[in-house]
Parts: sequence; C-alpha cells; structure tokens
Amino acid sequence: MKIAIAEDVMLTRQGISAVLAVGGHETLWEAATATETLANCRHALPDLLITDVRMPPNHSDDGLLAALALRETYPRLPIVVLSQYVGNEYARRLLVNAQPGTGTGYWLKESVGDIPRFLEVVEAVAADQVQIDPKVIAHLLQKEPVDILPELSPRQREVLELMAQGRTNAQICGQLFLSATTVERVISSLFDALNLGQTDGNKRVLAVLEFLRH
Amino acid sequence: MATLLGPVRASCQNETVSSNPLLLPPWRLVASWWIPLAVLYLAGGALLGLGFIFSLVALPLLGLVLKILALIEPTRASLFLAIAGGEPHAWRENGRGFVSSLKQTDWWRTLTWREISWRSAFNALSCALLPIWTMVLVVVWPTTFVVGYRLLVGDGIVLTGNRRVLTDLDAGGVFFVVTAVCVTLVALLYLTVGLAWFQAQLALQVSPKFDRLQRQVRLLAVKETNLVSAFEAERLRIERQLHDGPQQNLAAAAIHLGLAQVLVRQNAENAEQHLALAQGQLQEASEELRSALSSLRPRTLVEDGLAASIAELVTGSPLEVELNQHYSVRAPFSVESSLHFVTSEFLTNTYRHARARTVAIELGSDEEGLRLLLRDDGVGGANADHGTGILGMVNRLSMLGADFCFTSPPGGPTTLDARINSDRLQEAVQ
Repeated sequence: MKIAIAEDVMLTRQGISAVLAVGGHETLWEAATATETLANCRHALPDLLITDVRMPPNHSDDGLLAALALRETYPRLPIVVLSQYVGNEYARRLLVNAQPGTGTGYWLKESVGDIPRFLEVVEAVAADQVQIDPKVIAHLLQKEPVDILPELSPRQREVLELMAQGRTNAQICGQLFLSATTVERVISSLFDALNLGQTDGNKRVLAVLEFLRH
Repeated sequence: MATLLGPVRASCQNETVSSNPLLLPPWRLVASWWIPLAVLYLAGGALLGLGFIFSLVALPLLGLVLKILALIEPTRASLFLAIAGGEPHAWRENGRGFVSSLKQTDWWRTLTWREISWRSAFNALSCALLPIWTMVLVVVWPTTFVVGYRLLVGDGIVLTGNRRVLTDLDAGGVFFVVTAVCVTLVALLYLTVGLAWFQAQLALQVSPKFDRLQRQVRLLAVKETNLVSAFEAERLRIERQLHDGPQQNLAAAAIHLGLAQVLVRQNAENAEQHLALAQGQLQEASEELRSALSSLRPRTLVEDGLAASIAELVTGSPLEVELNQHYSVRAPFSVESSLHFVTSEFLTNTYRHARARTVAIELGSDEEGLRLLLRDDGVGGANADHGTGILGMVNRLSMLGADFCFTSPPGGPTTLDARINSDRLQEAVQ
C-alpha cells in the first residue's frame, strides 16, 4: 500500500515510515506541514494518509483541518489521525464528516509503538473500517454520563451504555435478561434513532461516539 | 541604604498610577495631553464649584448636590490622571464604573458632617483655583514682564506707555523679550498642570470613605479576575511546553523502541539504530522536562536564594543590566519566588517590547523590609491590555501585600518600585 505521512517532528516521521516498511508498505511521500499535505495530495494521492493533529503553520489542529478539507475533495481517502489528545472531539469531527463506509482512524501517537497493532489499524482503515484508540474510549467512559439524547427510550439508553462499555450482544442479553432478538431489535432501533442508517460495521463505534460526544 | 530604601510615595501604594507630570521635562510636557486636559479639568472644577456655591442658596438640596459632586469629582480626577498620564488601569476601572456607580449609589445614605465639610472645602478650593490661575495669567505674568523690562533695559517707561516698549527695542531688548516669554511660558505651563494635578490628587484623597471603600472592593474584584486569568495563561503555557516537548519525544521513543523490538525478533541488523534513536529521544525528553520544571521552580532560587537567582537572570539576559544588590538575608520562599518572577517578567517585557538598551536592578534589605527597584531606558507605554505579563507582575505583588508602583508613561522609562515591609515578611513566614 502507498501511504503518505504528515508529521512535523522528523524523528517521529521517520519512525512511522520504518513501522510501515515493517508491514510491507511503501511511504509515498512525507509532509512536515498541513499546507504541504494538501499540496502533495494534489500531486500524488496516497492509498491512505496518516496525519498528526498538531502541525505547522499554526501549531493548533492544522493537521485535522487538512484531513477534513481532504475529506471534501477525496471522500473515499482513508485517513488515520494521530494525536496526543485523549479527548474524543477530534475523532468525532472526523467521523461526522466522513461518508459512510470511509476508513477512519484516530490513534494516539504513543500507541504507535505497539507496531503489530498499529499495522492492523492501518490495514483496517484502508479496508474502510473505523478504528479508535481504546484509551480514547476508556477516557470517555470515565466521564459522568450526562443527560443527552432525550429522545431515546430507557431501554435503548441502557443498551447503548453497555455497548459503549464494549459489551457484545451476547453479554448485553445476559445482563439485561433479554432475548438475542430483542437486543438486536433495540440496537437496530437505536441506530435508526441516531440516524446511522444502514452503514456496516462502524455503526457501533459511531453510536458510542454519538452517545459520548458531550 | 537610606537612599535605596526611601519611602514609596503614598499615592503609589498598591496601585499602578500615572506618572507625576511635574517631573517631566518641558519638551515632553508640551507634547503630552497634560496641558489641554489640565485646563479642561480646572475649568470643569471651577464650574462644579460655582454650582456648589449656588446650591448653598437652596440649602435643602445641599445633600443631593454634595452626593453628585462626590461621585463626579473622583471620576473626573481619575480620568484626568489616566488619560493624560497614559495609565490604563485607572481609566478602565473608573471610566466604566461611573454610570453604574451612579445607579448603585445609595442616595439616601446619610451624609456625615465630616463629609459635608470636606466636600464643601474641596469645592470652594476648586472654585478658587481657576481664578487664581487666571489672575496669574492676566495680571502677574504681564506685570512681571513689564517691571522686569523696566529694571533691566527701560529708562523710565510708565506702565500705561506700553507702546514705547515695542518701538524702542534694540538687540538686547529683543533677547530679553524672547527669553522672558519662553521662561515665563514654561513656568506657566507647569503651574497649570501642577494645579490640576494637585486638585486631582486632592479629589482622590478626600473622596468620602464609603465611596473609597466601594471603589477598593471593585478594584479587588477586578484583581481577582485578573489573577484567575493569569493562572489560566500560566497553565496554558505549561501545557504547551509539555505537549510540544517531552510528550513528542516520548511518543517518538515509543515508536523507535517498538521498531527495535520487531526488528530484534526478525534478527534484522538495524534494531540497534532504533534503540539509539529511542535513547536520544528519552534523553531529550528528560532535558525538556528539566527545563519545564526549572521554569516553575528555579534551582538557584531554591538553593541559593533571591540574590543568586537574580544574578543568574542578569547573566542570562541579552540586555545590559546594571545590578546593585544589598541583599544578604533569606526571605520566605513565597516572597523570594515572587520577586524572582517579577524580575524575570520585567526583563522579558523590556527585551521584547521596550526597545531598551539597559536595565537597572536594585535589590535591598534592611530592618524595615525588602525593596526591589527595576528601571529600563526603553520607550515605555507598557499596557496591561497588551498581554498578561504586567498583570502577572501586579498580581504577584498584590498577593504578597507589597507596596508597589508601576509606571510606564509613553516615551518611557518603565519603572517598577516594590517594597515589602517586615510585618508582611513575618506573615509570609507563617
């Protein structure tokens, strides 16, 4: 796979490039600023883009803004955003702007060191899946659940909360003393209520992010 | 030591104030707003004073009139000092406060006799100041001029024969006229500004105790808010420093360690290279952390005290610093650390904004307390609105309960004169 890397710290950039080489991927180009990222994409569109959030020129969320801009131009470009920020705001902005079924990853920079896992993430995102760093989800779960999504029924809410905790359908059945079909029906109505429609595998992640977005 | 530790001017205590116009050289005074505003201020004062005198006729209204004057006068005085002296704080505080203070005033609060007499005396005085000034302008000035001319050059000109002064001028006469006009004009300018300055200071001093307390409460509230935002700014700075420094290094180290692990497993040759890179990143992270920590709590300050840490600041500064220390004690850490950061901030501000070449630092201690005097030769005009630096300094000093005076008139110099008396030092120990 031809992958592009946007990251302003040279050693990190080279490190990521070496990690990708371990996985048998080619680094198409490297960019040190968000402006460079946009320009390079016009010349040579990669199969997947890995970009840091905090980048020059403004050293704010320039990398994320570049990713969002690229989403407009190239809706099918899979993007993995690297960050040091454990909050879910960046991930949410990225997912909200994604067309259903576009590969999106939000991974903490420190987690790149787990190389086999990171390569899995890259490949999953290239295969149009959503991958969110488990630490981000864990951090969100520590927050107090606030009164959001009032249109959900108590039952839907209960199921969503368990989903956010990473429970499988079978576990949810056990905990709530419900049959498998009932749980599936609740989840399906939940996706409809959250306007997630008929997207595939990423629905769970999106629902969780939606639930936890405050 | 006595010269170093002279008393801080009473008007300066615990506030940033405008500079004293009487200390300005004539060319700066002429170029400033002091003169037109002084004339306006004096004239306004005379009008208000006249109003007061007329209100004596309607005695029942006296209380109300006094109340209005008591509100107007300190505001007028603060505005005059603030605009002419280029001092931001008083302007903002009083400029915005007037309308709301009119609304908030308890109109039915009983006036004390002391207030009434103070206010009456003040208004009578401000009413009198303008005539005094006019008399000087119209009578004393020309008279001095004519009499002087008679004494020096003239040969028996009578006052009514002024015309001959103009016709008979020789070279000496012209020189005398020009010099006399210049000198007396300058003296007159100083007199005008001096009178206005005097009246304004007096107005601020004699404003009734209740109103003064109310103003102080408002000022404290403003300071509290400033303090919070200064803390926030400091937290943001630390967050950035840690994010852009150690956190980046650690993330890079984690990546290279991960690579080394994979490569060792594959028996690849370049694993060692990634280990070395990771080590380099870890070293850099610890250096970055050290620098972040030392900006929080400088080692020299902790171990060797304020004198040493200021000497270190001086060595590290790109400015030419004239350091004068008579400081041999160890004050409580909170005090030393505040004075250290104030000095550091002052040097940074001077370097960044003041276009100064030199800074003078005096640090002294005696049985009365500590004194820190900072002065640059820059362009002045430092304004608390342009950054948190000044606010930070003012807040730190306020929290210490220091008596201080920060002045930075346009044209410079910027001066900070702070002293902490020994009682405060005792409290800080506890």
